[in-house]
Amino acid sequence: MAASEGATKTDRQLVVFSLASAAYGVDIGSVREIIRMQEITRVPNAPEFIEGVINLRGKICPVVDLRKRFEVEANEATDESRIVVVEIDDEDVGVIVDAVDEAVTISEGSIHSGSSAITMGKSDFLEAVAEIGDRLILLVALNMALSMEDSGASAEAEAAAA
Amino acid sequence: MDTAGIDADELKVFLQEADEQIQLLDEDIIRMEREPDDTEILQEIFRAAHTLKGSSSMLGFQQMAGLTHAMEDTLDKVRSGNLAVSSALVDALLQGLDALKVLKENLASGDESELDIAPLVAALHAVAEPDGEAASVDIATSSIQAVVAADPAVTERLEAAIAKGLNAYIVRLAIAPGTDWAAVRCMQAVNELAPLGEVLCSVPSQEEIEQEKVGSQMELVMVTGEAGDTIRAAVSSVEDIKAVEVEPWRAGGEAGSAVASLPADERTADEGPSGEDAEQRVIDLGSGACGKTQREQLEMAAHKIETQQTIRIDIDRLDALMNMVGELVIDRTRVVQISKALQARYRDDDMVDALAGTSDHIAKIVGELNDGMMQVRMLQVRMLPIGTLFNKFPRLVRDLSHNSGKEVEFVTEGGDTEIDRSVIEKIKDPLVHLLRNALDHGVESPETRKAAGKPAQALVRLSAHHEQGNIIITLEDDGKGIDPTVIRQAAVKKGVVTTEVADRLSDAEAIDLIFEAGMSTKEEVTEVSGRGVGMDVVRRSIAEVNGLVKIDTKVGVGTTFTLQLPLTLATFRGLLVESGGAVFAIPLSYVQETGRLESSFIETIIDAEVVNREGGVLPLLRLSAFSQMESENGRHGREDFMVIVQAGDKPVAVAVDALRAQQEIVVKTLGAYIGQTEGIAGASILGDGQVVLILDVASLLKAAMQGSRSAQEPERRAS
Repeated sequence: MAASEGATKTDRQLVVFSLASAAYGVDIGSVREIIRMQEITRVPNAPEFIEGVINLRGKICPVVDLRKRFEVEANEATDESRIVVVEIDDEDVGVIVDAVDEAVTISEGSIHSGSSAITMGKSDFLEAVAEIGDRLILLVALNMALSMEDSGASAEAEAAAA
Repeated sequence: MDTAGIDADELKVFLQEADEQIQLLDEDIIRMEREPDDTEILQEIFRAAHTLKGSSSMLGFQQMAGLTHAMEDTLDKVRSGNLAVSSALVDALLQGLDALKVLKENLASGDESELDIAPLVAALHAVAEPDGEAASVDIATSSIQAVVAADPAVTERLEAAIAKGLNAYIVRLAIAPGTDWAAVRCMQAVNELAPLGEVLCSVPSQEEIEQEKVGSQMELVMVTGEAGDTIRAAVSSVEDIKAVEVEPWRAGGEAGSAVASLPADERTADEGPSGEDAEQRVIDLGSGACGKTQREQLEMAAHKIETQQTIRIDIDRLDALMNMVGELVIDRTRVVQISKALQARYRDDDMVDALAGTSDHIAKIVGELNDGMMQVRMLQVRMLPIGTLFNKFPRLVRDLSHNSGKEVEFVTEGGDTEIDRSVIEKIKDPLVHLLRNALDHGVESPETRKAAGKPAQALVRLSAHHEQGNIIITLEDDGKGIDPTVIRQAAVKKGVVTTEVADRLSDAEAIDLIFEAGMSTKEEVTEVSGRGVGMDVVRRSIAEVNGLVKIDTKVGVGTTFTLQLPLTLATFRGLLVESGGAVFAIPLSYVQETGRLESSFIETIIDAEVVNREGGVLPLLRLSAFSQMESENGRHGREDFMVIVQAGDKPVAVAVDALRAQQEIVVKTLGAYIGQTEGIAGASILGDGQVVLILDVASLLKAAMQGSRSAQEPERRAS
């Protein structure tokens, strides 16, 4: 609460979570809730990165494994593992993360967009990099990261066309 | 059409009402043709046309008002016994109805284009006024009063004039039928009356007269200082006017013959409300009466109240509300917990006590809100009689048989059988297709039928009934049936199967090929059934609602299609099975039997596993292979059990690890994010919160059958 009172227009509030020892951030406004890991029902013939569906208070909610999406090493679920439920196109989608670290407010000035700052993994899914002290937080472009289209494949197709 | 200046909400309400009335007309006009003596149907049609006329003229939709007015006029003739129900009459009414639909659609879509209703109005008048009939003013008609009632300005002026001691009259004119000058005569009549007083309104209206949209009657309301006889004389001088009636105006009251039934003192024009007739006046004002008997007025008033008590609500909006209430219920529990904890911590704090009281109250209200929403929810999955769908078909059958010169008696049975409204929506198109097929391919021409020793008139019967938690719909015709040989040839020609496979198929299997994509037995695409939709779409649509289609046909005798449908889509009886550690639900409607799968049953025929036991040879589908659970979890199910399911003509054995309970399954969608997945119809949440997937048996089996068929036809696969 204290953080939001001091926030100015250009500040952004992020939920920071970790995934394969990197820190990622998403806008707090797109996060609906954060829940503990629970049993996930796999859906045959669904896209690879969809881990399955869960019962979110009586509603069926799809759950995405971002590690598969980002092509980073998959960890076993631990006590720290969480499902971050975000809203995409008016639908709730759960995202599995290794841990949820904190909510932070950062100023626009500490955000660096531009591809040079983003070097790892599938860069299409990242929007920018934020610096907090000596830490780097990768800002996730949720729309891209959770999009059904495999942007990797489309990038290849573009490359082939060029 | 001009919808400018009309409130969007007002238009919406109007369109909804128009929808209802048009639907009513659609059903009843056809019924009227079959049961011309049923006065109730006639009364209903008349009322629907009348309601439409009133509301459309109120909003200034002149074309719709003009058309409904003409329909009403014609119907009124029938009602008063002056006109018999004939095929020509029904045709004219149906054409008018079709035009109403177009007009309504134009309004709904904001389409500005106009429709020429004059020929339709003329056709309606033509059937209402057979040549040579003596001219008479139909005194039962009193649509002018509706026009006055709808226009407060006219009413005001009328009242003002009466208050000033002027006379107010309704003038009715009968114009010689068949004259080319009807519009001119109306105009002349108005011109004759103008010097004598003021014509406040007329039916047809001034605009309609100018556009020559006139029939053989005219009614107008005028205020004048002259006596009735002077008025009559003035109008009678106009040529082609065959009869004139002048009578005093009464606000919302009766005119013409119906007046006779009222006490004599009611008839005088301008008497004040006296004790006895005060009640009568109240009723008149309340219902905005227009030429109806007293009882009808009361009925209409009651009807009005009834319609005011219901509202329509967008299902999406309702769902959003339901979800919000659901969240409130969860928060309620949390709030109550917190306030209890606070009370335990701060025992004597007034603020905490006040908070506890308030949160208890909120909890109570939220509970009631939730109960209320659940009731709405129940209504949402409301059951409707299937007759609401069946009633649309007599029109279709009539049109199709007229166009193709076939004689068909169409019978529907079991229309009161109730079924989920969402199922009704899903089966409408498949049923239309089957019906079109029956009329196009099944029923022969009268000559062919006579030559074959059948009655010239074919019988097509559509019926519905309940059977073991399902709805069974049958569509039966006594036409020429389906010849398996023709189907085999067509299937080979169209490359659906090879000659070898076709020859091996039994007759029943061959006939089942009509449900394959790319099959159409008729060479040319006809207007009747050729819409690019095949029987494959029919089977798929029925499968989407967990239903089955079966066909039973005999060459020369006829064809029967049987549809087995669940009562509701929201829930179904399901069998829970385990495979690879996951639980799946199979709709019970597909399950034929369950049992142990002995390894001795399993044989391999050309790469494909089959179950060979006493009952015969069935293809075997391992659910683990579909679900890919085995490899993922590293858990090897033993697949010791099988569920024999049937979605098409052939049953298939599905191997599973374990059989669990049968239970009621509430269907939930996987959501747009995951979208369509092959073999999965949706998900459900069990009582303990576990999520299970619902198998889409039809698509699952289709994949399996394609596998086994290609195994049977290696040569086809190679080509």
